[in-house]
Amino acid sequence: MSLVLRPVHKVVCTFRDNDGKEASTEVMVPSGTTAANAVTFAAAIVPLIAALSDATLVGYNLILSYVENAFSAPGRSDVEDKGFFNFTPANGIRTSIAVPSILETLLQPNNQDIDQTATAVDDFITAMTAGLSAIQPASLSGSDIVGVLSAYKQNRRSHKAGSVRKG
Amino acid sequence: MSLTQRTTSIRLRFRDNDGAESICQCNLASSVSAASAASFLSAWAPLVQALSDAAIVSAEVVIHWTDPARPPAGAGSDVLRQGTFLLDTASSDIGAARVPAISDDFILATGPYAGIGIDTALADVVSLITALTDGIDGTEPCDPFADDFVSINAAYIEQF
Repeated sequence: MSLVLRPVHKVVCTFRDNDGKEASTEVMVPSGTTAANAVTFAAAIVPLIAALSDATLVGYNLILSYVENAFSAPGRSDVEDKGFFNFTPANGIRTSIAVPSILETLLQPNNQDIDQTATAVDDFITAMTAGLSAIQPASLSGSDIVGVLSAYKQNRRSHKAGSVRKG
Repeated sequence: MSLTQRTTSIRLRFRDNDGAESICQCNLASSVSAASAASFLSAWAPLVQALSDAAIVSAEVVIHWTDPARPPAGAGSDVLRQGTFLLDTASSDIGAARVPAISDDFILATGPYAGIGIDTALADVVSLITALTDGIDGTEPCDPFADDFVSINAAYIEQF
């Protein structure tokens, strides 16, 4: 697997008008720009755009995009078969991650629970709970993930290519 | 404007043999730098891929800022009424940047382009155009092919 940067980083600004409608606009910089410089650039360009608008700036995102340019999915893969990992963050409010098309070989004989003793699963859970490269995954509220509560297969719908559903 | 950084999202997009797609997302604390988040993505993606028989086709690091105390939108604002800035690129192509709900204050009031053209002599407009064409602190905006913007070609209002 080799994920490579797309040609550009994107700064995407979202505005909301007085009817509640939202629209986004984006400015791109070459992906050769360092991440730190892209952050600095984003913080500088957004106020210049907002100064021309009479809608309100809701916020903005800096997106560093990667693409896999050589991939293939095995015949039986189904992204609707999620590997659902229920994690406990430090603040106790559960958070979860769904891995699309969980390998059947990682399931327990009941074809539902994920075998947490399998090496690949253990590596993943360790990365999520103990961190990876000294970086600790967190819940959406920013609380560090510290433990795994459960892991099982769950079927959820997904969309065809070009229309994506978040896991 | 008081923008607050939120948690950073690491997103992996999977595609299966039917062409269906789904995203697996992980969050990192806002204190994690953009460079570290990118490093995390590179290390995390193989671990997740090892659990799946769908293929990762793309990935993103998304760093979010929001304004929790944003002011109300202007009374007549319409995000579908946008200021379009056409920009010449270094490879002689044309790229574009858009400003949703461009304020009427920046629209030409007289001349053949009255009500249509953007007044590119106004200070706020000049500031944006300069940032787009000259860059900011050495970082140059560009088109989707990473060709730098070098000059303004046209600026006008568009209704979507």
